Amino acid sequence: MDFRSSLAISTAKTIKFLNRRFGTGGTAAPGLAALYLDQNFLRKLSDKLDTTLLITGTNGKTTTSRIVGNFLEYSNIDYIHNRHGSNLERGLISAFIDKTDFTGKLKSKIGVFETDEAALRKIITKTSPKVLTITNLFRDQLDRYGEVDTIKKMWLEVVSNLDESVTLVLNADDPTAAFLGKEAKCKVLYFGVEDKIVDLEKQPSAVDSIRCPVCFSELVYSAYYLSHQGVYKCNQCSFKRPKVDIAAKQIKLGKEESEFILLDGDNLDLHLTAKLPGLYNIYNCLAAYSTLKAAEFEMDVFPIILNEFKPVFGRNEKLVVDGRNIVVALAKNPTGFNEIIRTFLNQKSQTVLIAINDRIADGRDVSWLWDVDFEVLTESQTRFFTSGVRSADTALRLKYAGIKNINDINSLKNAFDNALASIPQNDTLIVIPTYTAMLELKKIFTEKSISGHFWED
Amino acid sequence: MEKTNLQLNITWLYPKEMSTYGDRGNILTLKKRAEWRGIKVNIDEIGLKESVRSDGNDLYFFGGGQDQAQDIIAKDLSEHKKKFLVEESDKEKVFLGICGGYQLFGHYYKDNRGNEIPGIGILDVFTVAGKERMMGNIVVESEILKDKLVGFENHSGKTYLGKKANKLGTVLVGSGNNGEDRTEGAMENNVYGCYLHGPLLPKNPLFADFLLKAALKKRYGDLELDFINDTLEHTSHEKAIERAYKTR
Repeated sequence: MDFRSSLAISTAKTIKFLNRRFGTGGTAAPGLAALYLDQNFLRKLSDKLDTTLLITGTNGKTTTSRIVGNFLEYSNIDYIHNRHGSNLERGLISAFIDKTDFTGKLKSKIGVFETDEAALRKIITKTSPKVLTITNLFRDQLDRYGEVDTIKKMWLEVVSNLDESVTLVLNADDPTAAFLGKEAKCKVLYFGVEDKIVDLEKQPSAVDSIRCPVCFSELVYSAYYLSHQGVYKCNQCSFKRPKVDIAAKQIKLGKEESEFILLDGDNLDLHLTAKLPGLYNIYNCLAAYSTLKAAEFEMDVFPIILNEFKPVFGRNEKLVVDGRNIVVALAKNPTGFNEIIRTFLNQKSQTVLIAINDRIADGRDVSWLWDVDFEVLTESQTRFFTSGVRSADTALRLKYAGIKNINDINSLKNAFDNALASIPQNDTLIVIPTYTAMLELKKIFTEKSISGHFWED
Repeated sequence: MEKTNLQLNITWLYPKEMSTYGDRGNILTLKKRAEWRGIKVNIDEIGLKESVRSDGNDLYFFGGGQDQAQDIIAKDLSEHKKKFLVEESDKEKVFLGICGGYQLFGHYYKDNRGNEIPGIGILDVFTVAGKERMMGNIVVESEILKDKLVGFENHSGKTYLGKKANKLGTVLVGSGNNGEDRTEGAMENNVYGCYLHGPLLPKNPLFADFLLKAALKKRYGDLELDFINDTLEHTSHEKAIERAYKTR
């Protein structure tokens, strides 16, 4: 180990210790310091791994990586995972620092890294992944990326440079992901849904890729599963949804769990149950399975780990306080929000707290709220509390959806207290925060000693 | 004036292709604010290859899309819509274009390779592709409204005004038309264009009503719009201005 790297490790470890001791700073701080001291740090560290799995995409990367992580844990495999949040280069380095001793010796041989969509281009040059998984592409944080097309172009460049040692795992139902597979020279494994029962039957408002990525004509859909994810083809050129290797069928979506049959090729049918509601989580399960399969793991224990999987904080975790239930569901873009409505807001009388911030990590631009289909709730008896930096914008959006029952309370703490007090015992409060509002919420929960297993996060 | 029999026909150009930044919010706002006053609203969605309905249109809305869509839309405009839309603007019909829609109201958009993508020329402006993206909250002082307009801009095209077009406002926070001359948006006859999405009209109810009045005037002459309680609109307008000063 060279001097530069040793210095980087010891500095990062010291910062990490101080962070823990005094409870300051973010999880990425040690990584940021190490990166400053040694630009090639990630390359050097990742060379020590036998297998690296990178998972990216707009929605679902956190849950997908967690399922992969739990699988490895269950199988008694020591692995590195940036599970504490940051998915930029510095976050990956911080995860390495956790598993490296002062001499630079690494305990783990496998790395599972959730990777930011835009950071992928840089991270992939400093890691040598065995598997690259792309979950989907939706509009998200356009104020950071400019356009959805910008990400697509970046990914295309990344994918075209992958050699044959890499397996690309793609969502066949997403036209952009499928297009990447067409352009790749490496092995590709496709996952997708094959079940008419979850077909929306018409095009939702928030769709981002309904045009052919090859010739730009409008795609023809025979099923819409989730936003622009579905079964599509182009009538002008030969582009169409590719044949799926790993499929989900016979899907049953419950309020707190899902059930489906996973088809792996022609031979294997797995009956799976997950304590994860919503179709988007079926996609996450498929992505996790496919990633592990592409990394050549024996998949026998997958049903067990899925059955035992607990949601990540803010990703539909259910908590109980004073005999009332709270479900926290992170939303950062219109598609994610629409899926939360589809999954949780399907009863007549419910109480919802929406907390929208516009900090950098949330995205400065909140115009996406106007692409959420709140109109489906106009006729329901749903009661809304709005909060966060952009609470007035949120309330205004609801007003123009014809919703009458809106309480706009700027302070998240007050809004939460009021919302919770407004529901009867045994009822459920659904909280839908953006990213930084979710972190605030976590603090509020800690102060109130509301317990959940999110302490581990 | 008794308003129960009033009606307003809105034409929404390319709702699928040009609707990236919550543009639906502008249509919703016009519709609701008219309906709350007892005015019946029809909305015509006009996509690729379709012609615009030939009579009775009062207000045209044209939103923003991805740069990639610009070529296809420009071609479709000239083949199916341009001639008619130019006639309509000559008749002083009301037009609102945002981002890409604004650019295509102008004479042309010159892309990075120097190709000129033609617009329909109902606004005396032209746009040149820039290298930097101008992104963030934006606040503009508008002389015609005697008030501020607030929104979010996200564009790389730089738009310049010709002699016949007036600026919609002066930039207080943000980049505006081109990041150089502190102008934002343009207006000529009853054609309005700007870079403020966010979307524009919900948080700027004064401008929404200004457009509604202008559109109704062509059909019914001058009329006053009924009062609407805009407390929430004004709160979000003020908060957005506050955020703009804090974040840029």
